[in-house]
Amino acid sequence: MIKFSDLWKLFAPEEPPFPNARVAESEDIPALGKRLGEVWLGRPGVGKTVALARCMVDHLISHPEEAMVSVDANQNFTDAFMKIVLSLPREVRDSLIKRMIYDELGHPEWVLTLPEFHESYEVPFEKQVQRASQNLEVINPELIAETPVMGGISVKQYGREIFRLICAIKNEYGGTWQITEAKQLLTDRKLLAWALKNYGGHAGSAKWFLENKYIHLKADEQDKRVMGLISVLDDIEAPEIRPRLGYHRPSYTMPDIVNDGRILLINGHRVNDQERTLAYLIIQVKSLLMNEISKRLPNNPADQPVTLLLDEVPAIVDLAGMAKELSRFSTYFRSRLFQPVIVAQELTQFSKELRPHIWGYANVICFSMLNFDDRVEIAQQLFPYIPNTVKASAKTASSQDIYEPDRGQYLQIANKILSLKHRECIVRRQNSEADPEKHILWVKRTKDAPMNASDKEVQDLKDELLAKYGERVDEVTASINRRINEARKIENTGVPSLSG
Amino acid sequence: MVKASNPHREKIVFSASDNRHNDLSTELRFWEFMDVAHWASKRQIQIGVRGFEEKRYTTLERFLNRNERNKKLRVAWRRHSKYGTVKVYAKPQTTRNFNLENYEGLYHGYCCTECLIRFLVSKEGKPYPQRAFRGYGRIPEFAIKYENGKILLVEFSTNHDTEYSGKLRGKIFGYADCLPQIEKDFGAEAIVVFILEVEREEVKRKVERFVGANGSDASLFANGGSPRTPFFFTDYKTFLDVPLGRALQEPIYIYKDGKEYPLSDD
Repeated sequence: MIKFSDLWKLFAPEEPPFPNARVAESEDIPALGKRLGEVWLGRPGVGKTVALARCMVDHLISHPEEAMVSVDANQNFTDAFMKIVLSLPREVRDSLIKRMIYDELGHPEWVLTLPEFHESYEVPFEKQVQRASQNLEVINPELIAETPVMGGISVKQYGREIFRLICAIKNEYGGTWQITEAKQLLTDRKLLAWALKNYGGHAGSAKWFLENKYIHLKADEQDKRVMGLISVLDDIEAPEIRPRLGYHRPSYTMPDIVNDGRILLINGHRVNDQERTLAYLIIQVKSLLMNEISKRLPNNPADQPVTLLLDEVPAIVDLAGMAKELSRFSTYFRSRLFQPVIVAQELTQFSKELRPHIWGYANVICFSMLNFDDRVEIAQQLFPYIPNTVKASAKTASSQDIYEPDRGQYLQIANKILSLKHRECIVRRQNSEADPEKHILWVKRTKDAPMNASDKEVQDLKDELLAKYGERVDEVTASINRRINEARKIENTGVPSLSG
Repeated sequence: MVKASNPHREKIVFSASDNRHNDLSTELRFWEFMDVAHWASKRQIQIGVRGFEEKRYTTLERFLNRNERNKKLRVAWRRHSKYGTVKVYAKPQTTRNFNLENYEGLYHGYCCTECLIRFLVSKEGKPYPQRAFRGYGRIPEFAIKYENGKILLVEFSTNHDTEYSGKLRGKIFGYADCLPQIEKDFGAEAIVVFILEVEREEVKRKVERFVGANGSDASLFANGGSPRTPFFFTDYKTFLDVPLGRALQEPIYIYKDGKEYPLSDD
C-alpha cells in the first residue's frame, strides 16, 4: 500500500539536510551583499572555482562599471573565468574581453610591467615610497622583528631614504629610476655621489641623510648599515620580478582599472613554487590597489565597487602583515566599496591571527571539506545552536526528551558537510549590508556555467592579451640595464678632480 | 735645558722641555710620516712633518741620531745628488731586505718621498703606505685620501723603468682592472697620477699611445662598460718646478685627451 509519506517525498520540495536552512536555486550573492566580503571554502574538485568564476562573470556582465582584480596562484580560476567568457554569446563575450587585462607572472616572453614608482599611479611619490618600504617589511617580518638594528633600521630608514632619492632621479619624460637601482646606489659610492649631486636637491631629506649618515662611512661600516636592506632587495633580482619592477613605465595602473571598470586577471602559476617571489608580486598589486581605494571618500555615491579576489594564495595569507590587512578589508573598506573575495581549500591555510577575522566576512560559501576540525569550526560559525533539538524522545509520558547538546549538533552538521556532493554547497549570505539572510542556504547543485570553449581558445586569448598589454622581456631588461650604464657614462665623461 | 731665544721658537716641534705632550704628538706624526715615506732626507722629513724646512734643526737631528743608534731607523747615503751626498732615513719595516748598494732603489725611494711631501703640503689628507694596497694587483708608491671622498694614488717611474722595462703599460692596465675594487674598499673616488722621469714630450707621446682616443691600445679603454681611466701623467722635472704647496693646483697633469689640468681646484 502506498503511504502518503512516500507520495509526499516524491512530489514535495526537497528539504535541506541542515538545520535552520532553506533550499536555494543558486549560490549567487546579491550585489549589495558582496560588500561585506566573501569566503569560498571547499576541498579540491568540488566545483568551487568554476562556481566562483561563473558568479563573477555574471556579476561583471550585469555591472559593467565595476572593476575586478583577481590573483590566482594556480591558474584554475583564470582558466575557468576565461573559458566561461569565451563561451558566452559574441556581444557579451567581446564586451568582457575588451575590459580584460591578463597578467601572467614570470612569463618567459612577455611581461606586464608594474614599477613601484610612477606618476601615473596618481598618488604622491612619498606615499609610493612608504608603500614600497612597507611591502618589504611585510615580506620580511622575521628580519624586522629579530634584528631590529641590522635589519629593521636598515630596511625602514635607509630603504625609505634611498627610495626617496630614486624617485627624484627622472629622465626627460618624467620616468624615474626604480627599486631595481637601489642596490646599485647602495654599493657604488661614486654612483650615489653623482645621484646626490645632481638630483639630491629634489629629495632634501634623502640628500641630508645619505650625505651625513652614510656616504662618509668606511666601506665595511656601510655594509653593516645596509646589509638588511640589500638582503631583502635580493628578492627583486629574480628574473621573474626584475623586468616587471624595473621598467620605467607601467603596463597598467590601478586608477585606470578602477575608473574604467577593467578586469585584471593575475596568474601566478609560473612562480607559485617561488614563495618569496610570488609573495612580493602579490603584495605589490594589493598595495597598489589599496593606495587607490584609500583615496576614496567614505560613502561616495560616485564610486563604483571594486572586487579583489585571492584564489588559494597561502604564500600571501600566511604573512603576518597580510593577516592584519585581510582582517581590515571588509570592515575598514566597506564604506569605500571594496569587496574582498578569498578562496581556500581548508581553514589551516589561514594563519592563526587571520582565522578569527575570516568569520567576519559576511558571505561564506562552503563546499565539502575533508578536515574534521575545519568542518566543526564551520558548523559552529554558520549554524546557530538549537536548544530544543531532540536527540531521543521520551519513551513514556512521564519521562522527558533528551536534547542534543551543542557538541552533538555541530558534529552532526560537520558530518553532513563532509557528505556534500560535487557542486553541492551551503551559503551564508547577506542580501544587503543591513539585511542578512535569516537561514543558511542549501544549494543542491551550483548553477551551470557555459564552458564550451576549448583550452586552445583560452590559450589564444591569453597570448593575445599578453601581446596587447605586455612588453617583451628582453627589451625591458635591456632598457633597465641601459639606465645604469647611461648614468655611469654621464658620470665618467667629466675630467676627474680631487676637488668637490 | 736652555730654551733657545730663537725668532722661530714657535715653530720648534721637538723640544726637550717639559711640554711632553707636544713632543709625544709630534713624535707620532713623525712615525706616521715615516710609515708612508720611502727613503727620506732631513729636509723631506721636516716638510713632511712640519710643512716647512729650515737649514738646521738640531732637535730633529738629535732625534734622528738617537733612533739611528737604537736601530729604529735605517740609514743610507744617497750619493751624487743635487745636494751632494745626502743621508736618508727609512723605517726598517718598509725597507726590509733592501740592499743599501742599490742606488737606483735609493733614488726611487727618495723621489717617491719628494712626491709625497709635495702632495701633502699642497692639500691636507690622510696618507696610506704601500702595504695598504697589497692584494689588489697594483701597488702605488703611496696614496692620500681626502675628506671629500677622493683618493690620490701616485706612481713614480724612473727613467729606466719608463723607457726600458715596459712597466708603465702593465701599470696602466693593472690599475684599470683593480681600481673599482680599490675605490670600493677605500670608499673613495680614485685618481691615479703617473710621475715619469722622462722628457715632457715623451710623456705626451706615451699618453697618446696608451690612453688617448686614437692610441694603439685605446680600444681597451673605449666607452661602453669599460674600466674607468682617471689617469694623469706628468714629468718629474715639471713636477719639481712647481712651488711647494701648489703641486695639486698647477695645471701640469696630462689627461687622456692630451690637455693639461690641475688635480684640484682647492
